[in-house]
Amino acid sequence: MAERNFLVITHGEFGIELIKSVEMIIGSQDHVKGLGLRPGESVDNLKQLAIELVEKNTSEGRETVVFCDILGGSPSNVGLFLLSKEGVNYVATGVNMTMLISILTSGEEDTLTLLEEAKQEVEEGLRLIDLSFIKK
Amino acid sequence: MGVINLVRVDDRLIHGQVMTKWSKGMGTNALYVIDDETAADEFMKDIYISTNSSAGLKIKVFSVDEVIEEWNKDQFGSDKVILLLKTIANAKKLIESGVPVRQLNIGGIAKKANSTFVISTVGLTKADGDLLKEIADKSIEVYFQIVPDTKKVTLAEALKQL
Repeated sequence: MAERNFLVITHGEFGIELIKSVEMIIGSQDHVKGLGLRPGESVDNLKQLAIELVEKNTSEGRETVVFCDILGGSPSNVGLFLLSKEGVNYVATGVNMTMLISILTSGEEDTLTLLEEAKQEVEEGLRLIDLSFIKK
Repeated sequence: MGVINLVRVDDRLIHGQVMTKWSKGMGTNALYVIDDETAADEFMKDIYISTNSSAGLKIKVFSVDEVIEEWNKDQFGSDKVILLLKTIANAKKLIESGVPVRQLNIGGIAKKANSTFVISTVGLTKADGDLLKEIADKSIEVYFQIVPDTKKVTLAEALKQL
């Protein structure tokens, strides 16, 4: 399945807003959806919404690639559960702008290669900078 | 004989608040998820165990009956444990089975029809309040708290809000 959709699941509005921030840079995206768990909301409800999105994608012949914020949090518990569903093969944790931009602008056909390249880009993008970076 | 460091009702079971705050300190070395549905679901069980186990913390998943059996067998062995339950009803069942619970932390119950938030993460119905009163009548301190460094609300304070 080279056709894929992307699902970002996070605490609060983070993932939903992250997509908007990414769109500021690379323009509007049709294949990314965000789901958030807000204070007081039920995880089972979030799980249900996520299952519905995955099933819709799968019925349209599209793979769903899942992104979460922190491993071990409730959103990642839902994300990892989705691996039991047809059409979900990978969950990436630590979602951020670099990761989504890398993925959404890549032409890579193979999903695992796509995710590994994004992971590497994220790792390279994590920098601690002081004046010596600017004044060599 | 094991030590019960915390008994918590949280319908999200293991998540950030539990892992980053409650599981630290008091020598806690085990976390038991007590939920019939999760115990019967090998996949969810494996998710909790693979995601959260570390050198210092064992994760075990039991049904309510299984954890009672575990207590009766060897009082949780050498585990210094946090017990996590999804519902007040299951906490009551555990308490009534004779597992020694002195305090009950209510940390997370999602909103439902007719529920009132007594702390930002706990929505209580009148029926929940009644159940908690029955638990408190057994000389158990029932309190509401998200993480150790947030405000602790007593059962009496919470019931006034219902």
